Amino acid sequence: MEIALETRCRNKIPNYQSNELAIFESNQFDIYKRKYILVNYRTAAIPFYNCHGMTFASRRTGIHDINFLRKILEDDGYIEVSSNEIKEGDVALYYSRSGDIEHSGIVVETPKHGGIFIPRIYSKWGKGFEVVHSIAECPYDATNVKYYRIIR
Amino acid sequence: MSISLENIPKSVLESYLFSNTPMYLYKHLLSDTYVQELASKFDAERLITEFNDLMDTELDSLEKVAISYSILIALLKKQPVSFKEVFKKLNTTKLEWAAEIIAIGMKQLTPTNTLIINVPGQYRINSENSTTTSLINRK
Repeated sequence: MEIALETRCRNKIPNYQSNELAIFESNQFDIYKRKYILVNYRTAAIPFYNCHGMTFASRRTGIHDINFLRKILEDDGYIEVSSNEIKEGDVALYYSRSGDIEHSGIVVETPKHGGIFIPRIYSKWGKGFEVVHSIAECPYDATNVKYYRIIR
Repeated sequence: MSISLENIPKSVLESYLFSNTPMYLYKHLLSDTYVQELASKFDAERLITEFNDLMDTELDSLEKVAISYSILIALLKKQPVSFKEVFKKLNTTKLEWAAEIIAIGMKQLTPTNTLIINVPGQYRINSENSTTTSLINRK
C-alpha cells in the first residue's frame, strides 16, 4: 500500500508498505546475526519499510525506486560532505560501482581509532532488522559511501 | 534434469535476503555466476517451465524464492523471441518484486538504439543481435 509522501518541494515520492515477511525469511535473518557479530541489532525483522524508508520517510513506508532518492537529495537540500567532515545525523549512501544507490543509513558515531575514521551507521537491512554497525560491517559494498547533510 | 533447490550459492540467497530495492536484486542476481549459468545451460522454454512449476508450489523456503527470482532474471537475460508476450503470461503474483524486475529487465536489455548506416548499393547487410539492431539503408 502506498502512502502520501512528498519531498520538501512537494514532489511525490512513489513508495509502498510491504507486509510480506515469511517465517523462513525471519529465521534466516536471525541466522545472520551470528555472521555479523559486532553489529547492534535493535529490532526484529520489519517488512513495512526498507533502509531508504527508514532514512528518508520516518519508517512509515519503503522507497524502492532509487531514481527518487536522488530527487529527495535535490529537493530536500542535501549537500555532500567529505568523509573527514561528517557529523552525527548525516546520511550515508552506499553506491555500487555502477553508481546506483544500494543502501542508506544515518551516521550515529564518528569516532577516530588511531587516526582511522570509522563511522557507525544506523540502518536497516532489506526487510530485516534495524541495526547499528560500523561502516563496512554489513552485507553491502562499502567501498563507495558518500555522506550528505541538510544545512538549511 | 530439473533445476535443483540444493547447493544454491550463498551469494544468491544473500542478494535476495538483503535486497533493499528491486534494482538491487536485479543487478546482483544478473551479475551472479549462478544466474549466468542458468541462462547459458537452459533454454528459455525450460526456464519458463521451471518457473511455472515453482509458482505452482508454495514458496515456503528462502531457496525457492531466491531461485524463482534467479530463473526470472536468467530468462530476462536470454531475451527469448517475443519475450514481452512470455512475461505477460507468466504467473508472477507470488513474487513481490517480479513486476518491477521484469520492467527493469525489459528497459535495460531491450534494444533502445537504432543505428542507421548508409552503405553503397552493391552491399546488402542485415544485422540484428540481442542488444543492437542495425538498419541498413541502401542508396
